[in-house]
Amino acid sequence: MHENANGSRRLIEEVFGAGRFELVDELVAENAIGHDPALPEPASGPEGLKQAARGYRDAFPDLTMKVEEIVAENERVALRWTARGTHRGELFGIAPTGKEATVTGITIDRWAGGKVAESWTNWDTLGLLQQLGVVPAAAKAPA
Amino acid sequence: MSLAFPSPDHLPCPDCGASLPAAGDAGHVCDDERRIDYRLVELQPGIERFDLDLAVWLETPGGRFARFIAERDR
Ligand SMILES: [Zn+2]
Repeated sequence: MHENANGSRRLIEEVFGAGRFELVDELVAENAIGHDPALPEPASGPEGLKQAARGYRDAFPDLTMKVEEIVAENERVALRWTARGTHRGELFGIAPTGKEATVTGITIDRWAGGKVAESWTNWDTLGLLQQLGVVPAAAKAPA
Repeated sequence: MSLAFPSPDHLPCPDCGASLPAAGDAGHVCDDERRIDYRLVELQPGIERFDLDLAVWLETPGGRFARFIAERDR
Protein backbone atom coordinates (compact mmCIF):
# COMPACT_ATOMS: atom_id res chain seq x y z
CA MET A 1 0.00 0.00 0.00
CA HIS A 2 1.08 3.59 -0.66
CA GLU A 3 3.09 4.82 2.36
CA ASN A 4 1.00 7.96 2.90
CA ALA A 5 -2.22 5.96 2.59
CA ASN A 6 -0.99 3.56 5.23
CA GLY A 7 -0.06 6.46 7.55
CA SER A 8 -3.51 8.04 7.12
CA ARG A 9 -5.15 4.71 7.86
CA ARG A 10 -3.04 4.28 11.02
CA LEU A 11 -4.02 7.75 12.27
CA ILE A 12 -7.68 6.78 12.07
CA GLU A 13 -7.59 3.12 13.10
CA GLU A 14 -4.71 3.15 15.61
CA VAL A 15 -4.73 6.68 17.07
CA PHE A 16 -8.46 7.51 17.17
CA GLY A 17 -9.59 3.89 17.10
CA ALA A 18 -7.14 2.38 19.61
CA GLY A 19 -5.64 5.26 21.61
CA ARG A 20 -2.06 4.87 20.35
CA PHE A 21 -1.34 8.58 20.81
CA GLU A 22 2.43 8.11 20.51
CA LEU A 23 1.98 7.53 16.76
CA VAL A 24 0.81 11.11 16.26
CA ASP A 25 4.31 12.60 16.60
CA GLU A 26 5.52 10.20 13.93
CA LEU A 27 2.71 10.95 11.47
CA VAL A 28 1.62 14.57 11.98
CA ALA A 29 3.56 17.72 11.07
CA GLU A 30 4.41 20.31 13.73
CA ASN A 31 2.26 22.99 12.04
CA ALA A 32 -0.52 20.67 10.85
CA ILE A 33 -4.17 21.79 10.86
CA GLY A 34 -7.06 19.39 11.44
CA HIS A 35 -10.63 20.35 10.47
CA ASP A 36 -13.54 18.50 12.12
CA PRO A 37 -17.14 19.77 12.43
CA ALA A 38 -17.19 18.70 16.11
CA LEU A 39 -14.18 20.79 17.11
CA PRO A 40 -14.80 24.40 18.21
CA GLU A 41 -11.67 25.37 16.26
CA PRO A 42 -9.30 23.44 14.00
CA ALA A 43 -6.85 21.12 15.79
CA SER A 44 -3.34 22.50 15.70
CA GLY A 45 -0.23 20.31 15.36
CA PRO A 46 0.36 16.89 16.95
CA GLU A 47 -0.81 18.07 20.38
CA GLY A 48 -4.09 19.45 18.99
CA LEU A 49 -4.74 16.17 17.23
CA LYS A 50 -3.97 14.12 20.35
CA GLN A 51 -6.36 16.35 22.32
CA ALA A 52 -9.10 15.78 19.75
CA ALA A 53 -8.54 12.00 19.80
CA ARG A 54 -8.55 12.01 23.62
CA GLY A 55 -11.82 13.96 23.60
CA TYR A 56 -13.49 11.26 21.50
CA ARG A 57 -11.94 8.41 23.49
CA ASP A 58 -13.00 9.99 26.81
CA ALA A 59 -16.59 10.05 25.54
CA PHE A 60 -16.33 6.59 23.87
CA PRO A 61 -13.59 4.61 25.69
CA ASP A 62 -14.21 1.46 23.62
CA LEU A 63 -14.15 3.42 20.34
CA THR A 64 -13.01 1.42 17.31
CA MET A 65 -12.56 2.80 13.81
CA LYS A 66 -12.39 0.88 10.57
CA VAL A 67 -11.22 2.34 7.28
CA GLU A 68 -13.52 0.90 4.61
CA GLU A 69 -11.94 2.47 1.53
CA ILE A 70 -8.87 4.51 0.60
CA VAL A 71 -8.20 6.60 -2.49
CA ALA A 72 -4.71 8.07 -2.79
CA GLU A 73 -3.55 10.51 -5.43
CA ASN A 74 -0.34 12.52 -5.37
CA GLU A 75 -0.01 14.07 -1.90
CA ARG A 76 -3.65 13.49 -0.92
CA VAL A 77 -5.31 10.50 0.72
CA ALA A 78 -9.10 10.14 1.05
CA LEU A 79 -10.52 7.61 3.51
CA ARG A 80 -14.07 6.44 4.11
CA TRP A 81 -14.45 5.05 7.63
CA THR A 82 -16.89 3.66 10.18
CA ALA A 83 -16.59 4.40 13.90
CA ARG A 84 -18.30 2.47 16.68
CA GLY A 85 -18.29 3.03 20.42
CA THR A 86 -20.30 3.22 23.64
CA HIS A 87 -21.13 6.64 25.06
CA ARG A 88 -19.62 6.51 28.57
CA GLY A 89 -18.27 10.06 29.00
CA GLU A 90 -19.80 13.51 28.56
CA LEU A 91 -20.02 14.67 24.94
CA PHE A 92 -21.28 18.08 23.74
CA GLY A 93 -22.70 18.51 27.25
CA ILE A 94 -24.66 15.24 26.96
CA ALA A 95 -24.26 13.03 30.06
CA PRO A 96 -23.27 9.40 29.30
CA THR A 97 -26.21 7.43 27.86
CA GLY A 98 -24.60 3.95 27.74
CA LYS A 99 -25.81 3.72 24.13
CA GLU A 100 -23.53 2.30 21.46
CA ALA A 101 -23.39 4.27 18.22
CA THR A 102 -22.09 3.59 14.71
CA VAL A 103 -21.23 6.55 12.51
CA THR A 104 -19.50 7.01 9.18
CA GLY A 105 -17.19 9.75 7.97
CA ILE A 106 -14.76 10.79 5.28
CA THR A 107 -11.30 12.24 5.87
CA ILE A 108 -8.95 13.78 3.33
CA ASP A 109 -5.32 14.18 4.39
CA ARG A 110 -2.71 16.29 2.63
CA TRP A 111 0.81 14.97 3.14
CA ALA A 112 3.99 17.03 2.96
CA GLY A 113 7.51 15.98 3.88
CA GLY A 114 6.43 12.55 5.08
CA LYS A 115 3.79 13.83 7.53
CA VAL A 116 0.16 14.93 7.45
CA ALA A 117 0.11 18.71 6.97
CA GLU A 118 -3.63 19.26 6.78
CA SER A 119 -6.67 17.09 7.33
CA TRP A 120 -10.36 17.64 6.56
CA THR A 121 -12.97 15.39 8.12
CA ASN A 122 -16.72 15.32 7.76
CA TRP A 123 -18.67 12.81 9.77
CA ASP A 124 -22.30 12.07 10.57
CA THR A 125 -22.75 14.28 13.63
CA LEU A 126 -26.55 14.34 13.20
CA GLY A 127 -26.63 10.53 13.05
CA LEU A 128 -24.67 10.34 16.29
CA LEU A 129 -27.07 12.71 18.08
CA GLN A 130 -30.01 10.68 16.77
CA GLN A 131 -28.48 7.42 17.97
CA LEU A 132 -27.83 8.93 21.41
CA GLY A 133 -31.51 9.88 21.50
CA VAL A 134 -31.08 13.64 21.81
CA VAL A 135 -32.39 14.44 18.30
CA PRO A 136 -35.42 12.58 16.88
CA ALA A 137 -34.73 10.05 14.14
CA ALA A 138 -37.33 9.83 11.37
CA ALA A 139 -38.74 6.34 10.92
CA LYS A 140 -37.22 4.51 7.95
CA ALA A 141 -39.60 4.50 4.98
CA PRO A 142 -40.76 0.98 4.14
CA ALA A 143 -38.67 -0.52 1.31
CA MET B 1 -36.73 11.89 -6.06
CA SER B 2 -37.77 13.81 -2.97
CA LEU B 3 -35.51 14.45 -0.01
CA ALA B 4 -36.23 13.13 3.46
CA PHE B 5 -35.04 14.13 6.92
CA PRO B 6 -31.90 11.99 7.46
CA SER B 7 -32.22 8.94 9.64
CA PRO B 8 -29.25 6.90 10.91
CA ASP B 9 -28.31 3.49 9.52
CA HIS B 10 -27.86 2.20 13.06
CA LEU B 11 -29.92 2.60 16.25
CA PRO B 12 -29.24 1.36 19.79
CA CYS B 13 -31.07 -1.74 21.04
CA PRO B 14 -33.72 -0.43 23.48
CA ASP B 15 -32.83 -3.14 26.01
CA CYS B 16 -29.01 -3.17 26.03
CA GLY B 17 -27.91 -0.11 24.01
CA ALA B 18 -25.93 -2.16 21.44
CA SER B 19 -25.68 -0.51 18.03
CA LEU B 20 -27.89 -2.41 15.55
CA PRO B 21 -28.70 -1.84 11.87
CA ALA B 22 -31.81 0.36 11.72
CA ALA B 23 -33.21 -1.85 8.97
CA GLY B 24 -33.61 -4.60 11.59
CA ASP B 25 -31.42 -7.25 13.10
CA ALA B 26 -33.52 -10.32 13.88
CA GLY B 27 -30.45 -12.21 15.04
CA HIS B 28 -29.55 -9.86 17.89
CA VAL B 29 -29.49 -11.35 21.38
CA CYS B 30 -28.71 -8.95 24.24
CA ASP B 31 -25.49 -9.61 26.14
CA ASP B 32 -26.42 -9.91 29.84
CA GLU B 33 -23.50 -7.82 31.09
CA ARG B 34 -24.21 -5.09 28.55
CA ARG B 35 -27.91 -5.05 29.50
CA ILE B 36 -27.10 -4.59 33.20
CA ASP B 37 -24.58 -1.84 32.42
CA TYR B 38 -27.14 -0.08 30.25
CA ARG B 39 -29.88 -0.29 32.92
CA LEU B 40 -27.45 1.13 35.49
CA VAL B 41 -26.69 4.15 33.30
CA GLU B 42 -30.45 4.69 32.84
CA LEU B 43 -31.06 4.41 36.59
CA GLN B 44 -28.05 6.55 37.58
CA PRO B 45 -29.98 9.84 37.98
CA GLY B 46 -32.48 8.05 40.27
CA ILE B 47 -29.66 6.47 42.29
CA GLU B 48 -28.01 9.87 42.73
CA ARG B 49 -31.33 11.44 43.74
CA PHE B 50 -31.93 8.64 46.26
CA ASP B 51 -28.47 9.16 47.83
CA LEU B 52 -29.18 12.88 48.10
CA ASP B 53 -32.68 12.38 49.56
CA LEU B 54 -31.31 9.84 52.06
CA ALA B 55 -28.55 12.21 53.21
CA VAL B 56 -31.13 14.96 53.76
CA TRP B 57 -33.53 12.61 55.59
CA LEU B 58 -30.76 11.32 57.88
CA GLU B 59 -30.46 14.86 59.25
CA THR B 60 -34.19 15.14 60.11
CA PRO B 61 -35.40 14.24 63.65
CA GLY B 62 -36.78 10.90 62.30
CA GLY B 63 -33.52 10.18 60.47
CA ARG B 64 -31.39 11.05 63.47
CA PHE B 65 -33.51 8.76 65.69
CA ALA B 66 -33.17 5.90 63.12
CA ARG B 67 -29.39 6.39 63.21
CA PHE B 68 -29.45 6.33 67.02
CA ILE B 69 -31.38 3.03 67.06
CA ALA B 70 -29.14 1.50 64.37
CA GLU B 71 -26.05 2.52 66.30
CA ARG B 72 -27.47 1.10 69.58
CA ASP B 73 -28.40 -2.27 67.98
CA ARG B 74 -25.17 -2.71 66.06
ZN1 LIG C 1 -29.84 -5.80 22.94
